[in-house]
Amino acid sequence: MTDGEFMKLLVAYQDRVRCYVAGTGVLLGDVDDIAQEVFLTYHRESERRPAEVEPLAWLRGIARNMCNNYFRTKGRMLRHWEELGRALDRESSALEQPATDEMLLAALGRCIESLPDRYKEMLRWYYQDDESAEEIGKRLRRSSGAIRVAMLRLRETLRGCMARSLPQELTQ
Amino acid sequence: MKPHRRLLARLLDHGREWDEAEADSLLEALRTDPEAARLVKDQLLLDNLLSRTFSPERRDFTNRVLQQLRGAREANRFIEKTMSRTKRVEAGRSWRPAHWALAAAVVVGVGVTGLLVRDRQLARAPERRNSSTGVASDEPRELDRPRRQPEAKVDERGPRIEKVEGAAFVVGKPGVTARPGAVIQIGQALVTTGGDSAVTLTYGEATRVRMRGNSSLVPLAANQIFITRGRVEADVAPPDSPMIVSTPHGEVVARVSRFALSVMDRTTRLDVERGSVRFGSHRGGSAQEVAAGRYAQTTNGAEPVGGARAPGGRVALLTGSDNETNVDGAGMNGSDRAMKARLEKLGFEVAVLKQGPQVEAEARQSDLVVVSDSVSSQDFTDNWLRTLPVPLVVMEWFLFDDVGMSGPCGNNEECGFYVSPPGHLFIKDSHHPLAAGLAGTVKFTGKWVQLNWGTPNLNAAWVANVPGFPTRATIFAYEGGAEMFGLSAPARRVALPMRGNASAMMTDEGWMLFDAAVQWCADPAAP
Repeated sequence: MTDGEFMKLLVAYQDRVRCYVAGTGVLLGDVDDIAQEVFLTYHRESERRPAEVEPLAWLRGIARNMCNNYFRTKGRMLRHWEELGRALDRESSALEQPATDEMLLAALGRCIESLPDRYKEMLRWYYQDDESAEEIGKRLRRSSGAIRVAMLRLRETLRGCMARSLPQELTQ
Repeated sequence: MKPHRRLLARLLDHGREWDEAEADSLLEALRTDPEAARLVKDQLLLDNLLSRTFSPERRDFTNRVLQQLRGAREANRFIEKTMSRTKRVEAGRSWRPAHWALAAAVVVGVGVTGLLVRDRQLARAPERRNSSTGVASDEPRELDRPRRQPEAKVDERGPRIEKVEGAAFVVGKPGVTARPGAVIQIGQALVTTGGDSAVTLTYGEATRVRMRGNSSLVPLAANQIFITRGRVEADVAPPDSPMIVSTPHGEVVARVSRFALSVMDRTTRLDVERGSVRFGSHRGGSAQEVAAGRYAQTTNGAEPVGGARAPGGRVALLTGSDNETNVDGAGMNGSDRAMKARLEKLGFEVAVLKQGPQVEAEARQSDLVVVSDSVSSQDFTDNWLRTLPVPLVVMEWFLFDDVGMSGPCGNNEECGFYVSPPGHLFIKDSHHPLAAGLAGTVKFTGKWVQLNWGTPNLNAAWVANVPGFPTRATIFAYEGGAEMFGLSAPARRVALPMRGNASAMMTDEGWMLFDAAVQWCADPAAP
């Protein structure tokens, strides 16, 4: 596999592979490490891919194996994750459909912009500053449970907004 | 709100701390409610997309993969280049005229010796005949014994195994256990498995290399080895110098010296005990001469940085019986013993002190006081540690606030402990000497353990925090004179996260952080 071919593959499918890994329930901090290893494995063993198997399907196969290994090595405290991962692997989401990375992130950016300022700030604290629900709760004088539920609703709102914002054919 | 939504909300929180009952409950919801599974999937994907939007370090994924690929290629090219260079050198050497002359002399010498030996044996042969019959005895004579087939030529240029402790294997000969006396040939790998394993190798005439547990070593030439991971300690003695030791990050050229080399995923650290060693990184920059008593390390192949090793002196290690497991005659548990050994290795004289009337006086006479987590904070009710004018390293989280280093502890207010996927820490300030050149998420211990955290004020150096919790500091420090909580630090103060048996399970990176902490704390001149 030439460097150019690998580069094209990486750019074309990195969003799909990262989404796939995240969608199995891998901890957020480990998603990129696993996705990185998926691409490096593909590069190392690209000659083993049968011609009739699409590169994305091959990448997903490698990712599935790596996620399974990941759950196994996490030990007792995460043993439920493997089952959760299997359950989630059977489900498909509109966000996994063939939208490009740029389209997804642009749609998400537009949807975030449309949120009231206090929600945007909450997202920044949570995802950019890595603050916990407890810490945000202290700032807003609300319980950590209330913050978690608010984050869940925020993500639901954003998902609905993205479904409307992305071209119709990608979300159906 | 459906119960599974509340569980999902907790699941998606950064720590994802949930118990088995909650996990079962969520899985049941996923089985019975198809809508729930779709909701979970969408939430996970949105969580990932939001993190990528807000987190700068996740934006250069493509570059990260390409860098990894380049790194792997560079390592492969380096090994190939070194091997081919070695072969060329060896091939060139073997056909020099001087070698022809030497070979001819050896052949003549062996021939003459063989003839002499044969004549002497023939002369003794009649003595073995039966004196009464004059018939030759059935006992086979030396010359009648079947000749042994000549053994396959062993490449003697590799190191010879002198001693094996624990489990060690020669890779390249599948399933071959390393045994004393065996020679590791060029290009074969020697691997030790398990923390207690070790192999001592002899190189040349007088050089010795001790390979620690979980290490891997490949001889590349008569005077060169490649270490892919782990730790080796080398004592290079004449006439074998120079010796070249390569790692994935840098290269050491050692003349008569004694040194240790620790190779981790991203870092190679050199500690020189005797003599002087030249250390350079693969990515260029100038190589450095590292003298006895100093160390240097390269991270990701960058130019090595270093400093003085432990300035020496006396350490008071305060221990207690809070963790009453595996306590020896000296009153130390496994963690305390590991720390004592490490401090001694760094060059400190260690006095182990248990709580008693003489402890304060002894501590005041020391150059550094290290308070193990095995003490009980109740042993310090008069709080003499708070004003102790001696550098202090504290690992008991209930003392963090008593000595003025953190906000109030107890009931998980501003101090506490956590369990993280095998002992992870997040290095927040990789430029501080306490970070030991490490960056990002670091595996502090090899297994699940509890680690402490506290909440220092803004005068402290916040070096590491609990992953995902930037306000929970796991390694933090105050300069002498810095304003802490209710007092100025009487001398340097460092908080470390080891709790329970953590010190007995530390990774190499964990020990690097420990070393950096005690060295910085004990040496007021260190930046």
